[in-house]
Amino acid sequence: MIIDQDKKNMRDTDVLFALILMVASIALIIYSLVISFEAMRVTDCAFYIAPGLPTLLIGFFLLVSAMILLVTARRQGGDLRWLSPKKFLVKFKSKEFWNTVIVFGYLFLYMIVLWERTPLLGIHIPFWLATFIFLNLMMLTFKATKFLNIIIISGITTFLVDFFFRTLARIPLP
Amino acid sequence: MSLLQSFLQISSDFLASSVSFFTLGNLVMMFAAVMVGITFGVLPGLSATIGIALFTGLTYGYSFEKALIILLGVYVGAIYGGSITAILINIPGTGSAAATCLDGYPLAMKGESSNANILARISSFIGTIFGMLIFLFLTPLMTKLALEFTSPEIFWLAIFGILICGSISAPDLPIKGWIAGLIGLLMGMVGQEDIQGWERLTFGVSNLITGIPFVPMTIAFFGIPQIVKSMRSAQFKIEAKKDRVTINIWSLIKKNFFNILRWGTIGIGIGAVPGVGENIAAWVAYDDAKRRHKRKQEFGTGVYEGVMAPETANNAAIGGAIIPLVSLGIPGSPPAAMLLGALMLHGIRPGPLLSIEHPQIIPQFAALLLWASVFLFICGLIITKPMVSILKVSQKILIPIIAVLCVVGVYAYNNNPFHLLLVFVFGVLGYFLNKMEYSSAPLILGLILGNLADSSFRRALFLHHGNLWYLINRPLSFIFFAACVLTILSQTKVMHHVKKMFVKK
Repeated sequence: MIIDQDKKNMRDTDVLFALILMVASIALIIYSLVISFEAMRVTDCAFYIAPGLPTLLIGFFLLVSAMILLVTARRQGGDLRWLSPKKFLVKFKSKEFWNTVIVFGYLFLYMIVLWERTPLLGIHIPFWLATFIFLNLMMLTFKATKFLNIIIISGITTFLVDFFFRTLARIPLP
Repeated sequence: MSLLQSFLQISSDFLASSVSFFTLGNLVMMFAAVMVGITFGVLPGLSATIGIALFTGLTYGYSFEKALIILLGVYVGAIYGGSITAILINIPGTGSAAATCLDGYPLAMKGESSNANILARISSFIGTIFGMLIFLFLTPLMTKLALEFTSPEIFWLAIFGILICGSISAPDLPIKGWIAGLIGLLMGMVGQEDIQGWERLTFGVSNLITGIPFVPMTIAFFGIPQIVKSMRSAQFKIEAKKDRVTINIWSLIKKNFFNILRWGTIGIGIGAVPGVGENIAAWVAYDDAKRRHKRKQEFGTGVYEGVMAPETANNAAIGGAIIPLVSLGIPGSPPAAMLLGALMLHGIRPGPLLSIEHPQIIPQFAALLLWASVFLFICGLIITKPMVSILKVSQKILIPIIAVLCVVGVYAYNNNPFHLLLVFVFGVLGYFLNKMEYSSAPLILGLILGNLADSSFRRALFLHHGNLWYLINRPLSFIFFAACVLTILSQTKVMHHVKKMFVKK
């Protein structure tokens, strides 16, 4: 029985996730069998100590759990109708969706693109500059405070983090 | 050695450790650590787990003793700190303070915020001391028992920990807790396995051969989802009223003496269950206080015991959570899991042999818990009111700064930029799992115990030529196996019918 819309949405996503889990666990079972037989062939070991046995069991229990989740979610009204292009477009246009994308985007930019040792840009970006850019982008996008305050807060934070971690804690930051 | 002799030995070692702590440097360090811990506890979204995860990397350059001072200080401070916001603004700074909101905030609304705050502080202090004493005297016994454990016992204990943690911590369906545990176990299998040295689930990525490190994963599954959620949500409003302490604290404590012992015992018991931790302990103690109270219908409107029970239990759970960590190498709570990472970073492998290799470690842990609780009391007195001002700072300013600290914390763990990539990828996964109400606690516990469960399982089978009977034919292994089966059955209709049958009879 459905109690409210939030629960209905939850069960809808449960159905999708259960199906994804089922596919993933079948793939895991196949992978486990492949590496187990490969190990048995190379090392002449028994199946019960083959490296794929634990992952095979996890795959099996994940499959069973996913099936239980699917049945439970279906019984409580979950379905896949929300995946229709029309309903999907509504979610796609929501502010919440875009805010999530923006935060992940900025985290990606800071952690992966601007981090000096990741050769995505091919240029050297010092840690302090990456941090300063990230803080400014986050605060400006989400309108944390006035522009000048954001610059000042970002600057002070960058200095303190760099000083504390690099100088005091002696961590070799890029 | 007789029981009395070992009791006296532990007591004298504890006293020696407590006295040797008393240097200016240690005192300043503990003071600062507890202050930082309280700040982590106060800020919604941050927790003891994230605090310890951030500081684990930072303490790498320090000696083990200094690192332990910092990490235990942060741990104790953060568990207490959550209660400040729970009482003043009805937002639990940490999950373990969620139950404190129920009566703490109504007390604040009645103009009794000072009463509620001092009760929370004293309860947290008593809880920590109680947990510390039980830890001090019970851990050697547990260690002796743990020395009897063979591969099947370790395997079943690991599985039991994940099952019980999944059942209790899943906010929606228990099956989701188990799925999270299984995903964690699978993540724990990534890398070169122990028995044959075979590479599993690395897909040719050389950085994965050593496995997925769990300290960065804690940031991924606890920190990143919270950062994203906080940036989306609206700023909360602070309306803390100023008042004075108007109750006789000591008579209230005297009146509730046995209740406090019971809540402390609940905290320790639940804290000692692998992976469950402070959050659940607080709820169970709150429920106990409510059920036994003469005016139970008044709970939720501002009852003192409604603040005392969860705060005693969640801090007592700290001592409880360290018992299996030190004696078995299995953390009792997510912050204790972070401590496990810190110990390993300093070359110390927790487990039954720990107290033999490092005989001073149990009294040392206990002495630090004692001092941390003393500083909790002092710092709480100083910091409660200024903390409310910090909370007035917009989350839109605080959260980007916290995001920077999380990223630097991951990098500081072992200066590997690949871990940043891992944290980002698993952070996205963590966000969606969190949104679908999959608890991160069983997942992290699965990650920690995955390799241990795997090697114990296959070693047991190897020694007995694949005979599955050997996995359950010893009394201890059978008890753990039965506990696993009961945990699963308790979530099904079968157990419900069995219970009904007994009730009828």
